[in-house]
Amino acid sequence: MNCIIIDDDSFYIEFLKNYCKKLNIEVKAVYQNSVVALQEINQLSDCDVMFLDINMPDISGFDILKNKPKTQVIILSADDTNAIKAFDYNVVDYLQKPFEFERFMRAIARVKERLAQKTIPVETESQLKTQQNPSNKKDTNIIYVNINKKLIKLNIEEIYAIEAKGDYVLIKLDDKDNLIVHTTLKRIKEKLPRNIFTQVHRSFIVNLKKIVDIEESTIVVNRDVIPISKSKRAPLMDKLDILN
Amino acid sequence: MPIKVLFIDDDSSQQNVIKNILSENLGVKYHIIDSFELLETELATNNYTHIVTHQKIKSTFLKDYSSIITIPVLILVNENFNLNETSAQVSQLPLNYSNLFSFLCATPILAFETLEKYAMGDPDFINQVKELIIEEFEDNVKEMPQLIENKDLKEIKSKTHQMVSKFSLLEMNDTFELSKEIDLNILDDPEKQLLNVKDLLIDVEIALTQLK
Repeated sequence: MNCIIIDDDSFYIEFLKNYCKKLNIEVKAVYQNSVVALQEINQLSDCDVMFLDINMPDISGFDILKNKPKTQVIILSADDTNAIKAFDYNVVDYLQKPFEFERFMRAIARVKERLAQKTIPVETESQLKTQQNPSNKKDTNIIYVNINKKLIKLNIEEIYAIEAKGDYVLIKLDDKDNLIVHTTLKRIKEKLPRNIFTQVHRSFIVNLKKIVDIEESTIVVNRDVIPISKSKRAPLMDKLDILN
Repeated sequence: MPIKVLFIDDDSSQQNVIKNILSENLGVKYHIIDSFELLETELATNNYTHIVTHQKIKSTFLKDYSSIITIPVLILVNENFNLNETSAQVSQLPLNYSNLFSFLCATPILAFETLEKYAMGDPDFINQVKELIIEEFEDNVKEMPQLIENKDLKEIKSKTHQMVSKFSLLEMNDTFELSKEIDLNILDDPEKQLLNVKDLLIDVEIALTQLK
């Protein structure tokens, strides 16, 4: 059996290495930087189990889970507040730090059970493609985003903002978890209808229909406060039907 | 409970020495009273972790109040003091921060049973774990004051969050609860929580001396 560890806390990396050694689990890779881990998500899937910390700077464990790693995941967290949310991602177990060796062994036993049953539900690309418009006519309200080599269908009406995050963009959705996609703001902007979406800052595109409030240098979109660049303010105002 | 020292001293110049010592150092909370008569009322609040005082103030003696004192006491003495006269800790006058800090560190605030259990009694593992905690605590004691100064709440939250489980591992229960409160609330209530971070750092400093 082998594993990878994604945790920014070197203490728990050593802790886990020691526990793994006792169970003859090979530690294939360790990532203290979650951004690097996300970039290498496909390679990460080539292991039996991933130990994943939730609370990390920049990219959290949930952001990695949203990219659907094709491996069994055991969550590590200093508190239990995220446990219910974590199990929504079909994780094998949730270890609250610190954890005893016996508890660790139980988690590994669960991984072994799952590996034996091969019950990881993975939607294939072809399954997703069958959900596309059969007439081959593009539905302008729908876009597909590539997450971990899978095409995820998105109704653009659900998108209220898109934020650039280095080599990734964070797609913010109404009443759903945000998605992280490996692309640029420029590329995703080209796919979106210009009458609905506009860029308000070098790092933000917003859905015009979701703007709640406009201040001098910020706008409120849903409940998020988003900055507006000086140069983007006039084009934004042009697109809005303003009653003077 | 965060460290809070009750000073009992009727000499205003000595009270100023105490204030100066503590204003130059992070986080130790204190209160000064000038007679033993007020001691019972103050101790009834259960707010204090330590007492620093003299054997005699005005015409009353500390020993007359020994039955109500259940927290560690540091007695400030002059050169002529006979060490056999008390079982409490003593410090020569004038008081300085180093002596005060040594006194605060003398009360154990951590225990190793949980850590040893988690490390399954493996001495190498136990030492490795302790070294990693020492390294993390030392870094935080060094870096956090500047983060507090800069009100870098995100970084303080991140560092505090990482320490939460270490406090649990070291059975520092009050510090564990305090760190959880900071982690949970610092972004919404920075004013209160930055004060709590200062208290937390005192505990971390004391823990460091007990870990080494």
